[in-house]
Amino acid sequence: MVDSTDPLVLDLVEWIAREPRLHSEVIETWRTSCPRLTIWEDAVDRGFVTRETVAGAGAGVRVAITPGGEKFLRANGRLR
Amino acid sequence: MAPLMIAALGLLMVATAFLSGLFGMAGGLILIGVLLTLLPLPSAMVLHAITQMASNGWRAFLWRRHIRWWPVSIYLIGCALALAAWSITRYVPDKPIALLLLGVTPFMARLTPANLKPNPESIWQGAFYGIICMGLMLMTGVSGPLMDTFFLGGKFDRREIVATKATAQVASHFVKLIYFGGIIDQAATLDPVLAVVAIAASMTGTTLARRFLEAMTDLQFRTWATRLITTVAGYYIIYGSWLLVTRSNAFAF
Repeated sequence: MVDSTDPLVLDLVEWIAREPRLHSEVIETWRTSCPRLTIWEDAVDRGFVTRETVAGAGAGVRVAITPGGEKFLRANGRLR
Repeated sequence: MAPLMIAALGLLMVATAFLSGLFGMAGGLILIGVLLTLLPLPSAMVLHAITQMASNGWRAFLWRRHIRWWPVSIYLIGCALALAAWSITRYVPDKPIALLLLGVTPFMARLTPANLKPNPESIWQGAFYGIICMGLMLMTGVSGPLMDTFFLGGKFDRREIVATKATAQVASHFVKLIYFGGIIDQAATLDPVLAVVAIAASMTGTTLARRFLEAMTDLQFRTWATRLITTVAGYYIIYGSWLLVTRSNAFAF
């Protein structure tokens, strides 16, 4: 049922495109249970978002969109 | 019920709620299977209904602003029709049949064609899904995976999906409670202490799951969720078939 979660994957990628987010923030905001919607996992599998380790102040794992994610947003009219 | 039995069931419920917190529906699937092997079917159904109403009710309350009431209302029409049909026949499945159907349930959602997009706003589709899911609920105790496909078909955001499904689940389990607790010929009674333990255990297990969830990688989640559900469902099919065969042989002699 990949198609049925597509709009949600789009929402997630658009949300991350606004500004890079901490990995913990993404998981906390987008995690669901019963039904366990694999929105985050789908976005990672399809190469729309990537994790980057950031050193120094505000160190941690950040999530940003990839060129593939940008293309996905453009194709769906969410990025100009 | 003996205090030792209540304690053992409480521990079991913490463990299954923990799994449910990690994998979505697997906890309910395991809990009803184990309850079916330990208790008479009506008692297992009533106790299961209490725990599921508590967990889904809490989720629905937390996200109450996101509930879409129209799909819930039309889903309830289907539930009412199923309850009416079952109340006429007062059908209670044998344990082997319930276990077999329980084992098949997770695969029903997987067999649903990917291009099938149910419309949760449609009265006919809502009533149809309500009848099917409620019928399944009255025979196996669960209907979660199939219900997911219905609410995922709409243009809801993720909070609306989870909150609306949780509300529909509270209603479905309440109908199950009424059916097995009052309508059928050998209606079950429930020890109030066990009911309180069940609710507390469900909440404890769900809270514990959060810490582990954060430590799991995405790949681990997908791999283990699929393995767990397939293993549990496969076990129910084999166990139900075995009970069915041994019972048939017993009747033959």
